[in-house]
Amino acid sequence: MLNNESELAQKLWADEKPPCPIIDFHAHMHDYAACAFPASQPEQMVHTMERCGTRLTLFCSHLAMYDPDEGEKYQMQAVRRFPDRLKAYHGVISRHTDPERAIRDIEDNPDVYVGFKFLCDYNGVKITDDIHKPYLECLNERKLLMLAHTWGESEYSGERLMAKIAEKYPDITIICGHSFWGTFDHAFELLGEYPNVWFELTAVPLMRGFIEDIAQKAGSDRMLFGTDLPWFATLQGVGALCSAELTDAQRKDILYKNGDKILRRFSWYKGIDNSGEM
Amino acid sequence: MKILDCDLSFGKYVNKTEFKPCETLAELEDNLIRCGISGGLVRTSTTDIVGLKFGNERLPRQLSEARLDLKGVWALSPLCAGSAGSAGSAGYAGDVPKPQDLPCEMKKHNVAALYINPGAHRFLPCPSVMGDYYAMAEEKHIPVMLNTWYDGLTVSDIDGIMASFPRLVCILSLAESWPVMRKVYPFFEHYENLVLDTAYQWDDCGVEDIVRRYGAHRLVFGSGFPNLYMGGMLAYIRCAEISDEAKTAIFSGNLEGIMKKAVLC
Repeated sequence: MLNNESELAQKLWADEKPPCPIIDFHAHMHDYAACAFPASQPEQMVHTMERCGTRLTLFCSHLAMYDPDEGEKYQMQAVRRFPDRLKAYHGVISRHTDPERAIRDIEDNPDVYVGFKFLCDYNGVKITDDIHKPYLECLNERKLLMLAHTWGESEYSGERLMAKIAEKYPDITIICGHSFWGTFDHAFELLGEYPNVWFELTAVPLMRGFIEDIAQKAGSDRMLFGTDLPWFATLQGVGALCSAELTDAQRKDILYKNGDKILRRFSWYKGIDNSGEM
Repeated sequence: MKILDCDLSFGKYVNKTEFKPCETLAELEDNLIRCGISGGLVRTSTTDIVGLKFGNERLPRQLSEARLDLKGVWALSPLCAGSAGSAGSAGYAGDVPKPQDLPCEMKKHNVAALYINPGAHRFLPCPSVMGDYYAMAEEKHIPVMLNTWYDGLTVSDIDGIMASFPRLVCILSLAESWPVMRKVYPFFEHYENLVLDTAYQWDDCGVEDIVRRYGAHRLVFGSGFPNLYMGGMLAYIRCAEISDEAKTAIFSGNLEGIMKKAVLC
């Protein structure tokens, strides 16, 4: 039954499908050298979304995090093929930056991009490095989203650095991917005071107690659902949420209500009504 | 739908853990009842922290008071000539019954499977050290849980064990990396009695891919609780694009079949 104290969990178990909408704020796409994914192409991911009730997925393909020429073309094609289901983060490759081109892509394709994705730990460049300044200014001016891979106490993307970004760029919606995984004390208290910071749950369900920790310290109204798709199955994350010690109202905040509020700034976004329809 | 979980543990941790531990059997059972799981295979952290012999002996006593259908899993350590059955409780060698005595002891104490934790118990898991136990388990179809979450047990170690004992009933948990297919699919090809614990099988459509390629009989449901949330793989498998028969097999049928086949006395 999944959780005999949760109506949402019981409905999921009965219907074999999540009973409320999902907005996925952290996904990838495309092959990746280290893995053989069964479902990494756009049509496969959209199939997964339909099966799981995911209304919208915001992604940055593995290819775009390696090869901007091919990668951004690939992302644009994927979004234009599934315009109601997919939107992209433009990749920022910190060791091969081209801010003019990236900003032009964002400006010219508002139907495709929601912001930038930073992978500072992988690139080995601090999020606060000057090289990122034009990207951050662009996001701040346009009130766009920043998805950052964040790891607890990382020298490239840790909580103290992200606090500096949150302070300096108050109009960026900062989505802390993985919620500083591995830190269990400082991040949520340090960053909780910045209303532009959100904690995203990719990989968080792998550690029992972590979800409740964030909800307690930062509040479920500051949490967003994400999967790293095709890395993690959507239902694995939803199932973990269903068995975590939360209320159904908190689960709905995380799965779609918070995301729905964030996305209303985009003209293409149609919103989710009270019935859960988009 | 009956659900049995092959990957459960409970017990205290004195050092800081990243996950929220489940300290008591009662707490474990409360969580199982809340999630609708009727039983499974249980280890205890006592065995890995306090002592192997102490934990192995204590677990059946604790499980005798269980409300659910829970069976114990015993840790193995090397058999050393001259020390088997020694009286002391602190030793690391010879503190498990001899291979020929182990099946009857397991039956007597409601223990259904074995595991190794070479990091905690400080031994080498290779066939030259542990071969007598692996040979007995292979012959008697007793499941041995090989879990890379434990220090000192790598995928290469597991391949070494399985290459020497290719018909060993192995419940494999690949916790150190994912997606796991490039590591586990070759094992499926070579080792007919190897099944995968679902606890660490997180990739999208991974369960469906395994069922399509190798059949549902190669998966047994495991939640990985309390390291992982109990509901993660429950929801994944419940909603997977596989047949109801496949779900039933993964949730309980395969593990029941494995336990039924084991010759414990």
